[in-house]
Amino acid sequence: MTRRRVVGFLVVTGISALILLPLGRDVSAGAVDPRLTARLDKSTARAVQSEVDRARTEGLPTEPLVLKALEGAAKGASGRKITTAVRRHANALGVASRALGPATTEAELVAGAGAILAGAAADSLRSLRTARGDSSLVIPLVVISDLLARRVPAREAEEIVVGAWRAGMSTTDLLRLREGIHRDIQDGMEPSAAALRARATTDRSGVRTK
Amino acid sequence: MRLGPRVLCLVFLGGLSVIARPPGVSAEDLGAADLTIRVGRSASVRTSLAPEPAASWRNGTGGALLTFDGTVATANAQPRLRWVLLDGGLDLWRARAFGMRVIAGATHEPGVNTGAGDQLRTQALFTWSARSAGLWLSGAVARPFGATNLGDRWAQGGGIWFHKGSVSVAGTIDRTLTRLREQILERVVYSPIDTVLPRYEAVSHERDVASTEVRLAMNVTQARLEINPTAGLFHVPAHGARGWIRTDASYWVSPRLALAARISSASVSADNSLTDSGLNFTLGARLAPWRKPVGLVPAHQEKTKIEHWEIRREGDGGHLLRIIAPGVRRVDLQADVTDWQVVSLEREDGDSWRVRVEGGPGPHHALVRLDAGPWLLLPDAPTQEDGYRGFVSVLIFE
Repeated sequence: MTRRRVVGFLVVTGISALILLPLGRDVSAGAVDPRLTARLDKSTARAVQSEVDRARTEGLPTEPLVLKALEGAAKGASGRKITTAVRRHANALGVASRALGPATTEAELVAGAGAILAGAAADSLRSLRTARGDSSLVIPLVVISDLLARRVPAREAEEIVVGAWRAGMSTTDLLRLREGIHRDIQDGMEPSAAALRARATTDRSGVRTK
Repeated sequence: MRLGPRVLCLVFLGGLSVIARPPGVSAEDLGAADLTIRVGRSASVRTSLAPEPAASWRNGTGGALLTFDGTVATANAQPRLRWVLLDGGLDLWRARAFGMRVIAGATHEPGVNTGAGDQLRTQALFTWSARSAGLWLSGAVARPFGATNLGDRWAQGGGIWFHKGSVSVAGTIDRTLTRLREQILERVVYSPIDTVLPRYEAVSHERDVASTEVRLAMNVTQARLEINPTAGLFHVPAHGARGWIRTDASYWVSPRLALAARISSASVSADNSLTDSGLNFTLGARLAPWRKPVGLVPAHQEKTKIEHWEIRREGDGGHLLRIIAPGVRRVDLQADVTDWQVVSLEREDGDSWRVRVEGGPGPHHALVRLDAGPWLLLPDAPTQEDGYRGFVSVLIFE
């Protein structure tokens, strides 16, 4: 009798599982962020959501990934490009998270991912954190990303920002330094030369950048 | 095989910079990597032993460098390799504005009547670069293999460059010593009869031939058009001076594809003889799969009617973006804080526009649009690549 009950229970459980399995898939599809389903085709939305879920399991912020997908949709990018951009962004967030350490704010992670995507080395992020562990790294990371976007060679950009940060330069002065390099580039100077000049200026003012 | 004047030449020219990204070398350097495929009548290839350094090395940046250059010529529908060159370079040392680089390379040029078949080349470069000018000194040595009449070649050279706006100019001078091996007949006397009946024997003789070349190269970049004219004056005491010109033009039809044209005059071969006469013209395509859009942040995106903008935190935690744009009838914002939906700014008074946005502290990405035109970066704001081959302005919320 007991044996019959056990067999019956197993049969019912198996049938229930078979019935519920597809429903389970539907539940998973239903969990896709509504903003994604509203703006992306179904397969892209699912692919993006799986990246979002993966990031969540790794303890990374997920909102920047959803926003990256929405940005792609707004810019008319194909589903494949959107998925690739989101995946790259998620990987960059992971690299930034490992480089910046556990006590990192979401804002720092977003700025760090931007710097990694722009071509900065993870070591530079570590150096920034080590230099002034208690200060927010948002500004130096944004400045590194900006310099790289303006074709300042990675080594120059990182040396300038890390050196200035280590020497105690304020965020206001760091932004001013970026503006100076930007202005020189707009005036036609080679980005690397503009960076060298900025470094020479900061060195002269007493802030050693290397 | 002699190549006639109506020979169809296929010239493959490629430059690949930083194939393996060494520490500290920006991925941006890959922007120089490209492959050009040309079709047309082409001048003989001749490279200087001590050529001017690549632009990135001149500017004091650099890293690893790999250059491939090759020519396949066809005559009577039979393709024949004319020239292959492979150069690899390393940034050995760099401190401030100074740098030391070394380049090593090999050339394979089969069937050349000079016998200069294969050749190994080493070049050392010392560079100094300042704000928008610099100079370099260069020394090179080449050893030919399988050549019967050519010995080692040495070259010393140097040059200066400057950059102004969209124009950069580089002037080079180099002096090359080429050791020529010659067989001459010398009269020998081994026995008294040789004094009556002259007897001659072939004797190897070596002599150094010096040549000097002066080159002036320009690069002009205007929007999608890139023009590189180069003129040279080559002087060998025995042959006198010969001038040559070459102009490359590229028109970028897309960020990674350009139409490429080259016009070149007579060139000088390794044995210092003039090999081609008249003008040669080739047309082709230039592929640059790693190239980023020129200037990366397009200048026109930053020269807008926006006179001023600011982002200010309000008491309740929201942020107010204010834009001053004279003569504008509409201003739109598209940003991560609007979920990348288009939001119109309200006109405050006159030329001032405002919008209130919600977002946590940290960097936020945005673009603006004036009068339903193209999406623009906010002038002077930090920028960042967007992952979709474009850029966004970065606004920092407190």
